Amino acid sequence: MNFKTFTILSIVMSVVLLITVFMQKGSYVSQAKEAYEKSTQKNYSDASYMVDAINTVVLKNSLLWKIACDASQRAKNSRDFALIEKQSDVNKVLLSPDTKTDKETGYLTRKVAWNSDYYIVASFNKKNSALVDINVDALLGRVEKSVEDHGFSEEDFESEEN
Amino acid sequence: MDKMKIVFIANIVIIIALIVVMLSLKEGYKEQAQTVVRESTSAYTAEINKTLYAQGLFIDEWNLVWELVFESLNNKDRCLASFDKRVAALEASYLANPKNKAKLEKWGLKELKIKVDGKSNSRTVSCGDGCAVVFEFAGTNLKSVDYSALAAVNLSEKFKINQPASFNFNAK
Repeated sequence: MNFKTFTILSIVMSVVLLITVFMQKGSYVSQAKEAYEKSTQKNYSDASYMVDAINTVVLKNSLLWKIACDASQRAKNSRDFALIEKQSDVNKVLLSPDTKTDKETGYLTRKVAWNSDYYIVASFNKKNSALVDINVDALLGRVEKSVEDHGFSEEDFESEEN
Repeated sequence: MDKMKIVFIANIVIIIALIVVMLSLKEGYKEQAQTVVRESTSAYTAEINKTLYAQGLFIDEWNLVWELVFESLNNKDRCLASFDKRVAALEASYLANPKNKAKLEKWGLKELKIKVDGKSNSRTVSCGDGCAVVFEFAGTNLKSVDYSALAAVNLSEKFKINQPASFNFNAK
């Protein structure tokens, strides 16, 4: 190999190096973009799921609260209560009511729910001539299981800030 | 020295200079990439948390207002003075729950107040934009409660998570 060949090789090398200098930024940008998108897309889908789920809980619990408050004023027996339910549940979100007789008190109870976590329970006297009570504890989170048991919570996002 | 030698030596100098430039830029880009990913991601996480906190706060207020409506309708004592006491009792009961206290701390609040606007024979309780519950009293006794706005609350537009912003390598 003569000197001329060395010179040509060195020129080729410097051109390659020059191209590398310009290209290396692109490589870092694409790696950083990938890391950012991977992380934020996961947060986006988790948080969207949670926010939407809670919005749905509010929407459907509104219906239960409305039935409880309407019935407090107007329902005298389970038939009145059922009518209020029917009139309020225009989007048909409620499950079939669960009616039974309480063994201890003899009261007729009517449990109205849209899922197993959120419900109200109305009690009527033995003759079904008076509304005795409406239990809204499930709406107030006073029974086990709550909105936050969806597999992830606000804390999941907070920890990622650190 | 012939021309070929000059070109060769000049080229070697250029190669060394390019290697130095490449190595120094590499460190800079690496640092910039790590910083911008960390900061952009945590900015987005903070934005998400802001929505989650606002939603959590709204829901606790909303629940308290429903509880106030429900109790006011069901309690035999329907006088105005008892209504005011009930508001204070609900706020105190909320604050007494350690779980709620932890939430308030997270939201940067010391207590959760039910927003009541009082007139001589009515009380208007606010539950967010355009949402108000009106308690009307006849004399001193509760006559009616209008909670239609509370029942019509739809949060799908109020609380939603926005898509993350496009990645910007040069973001400050």
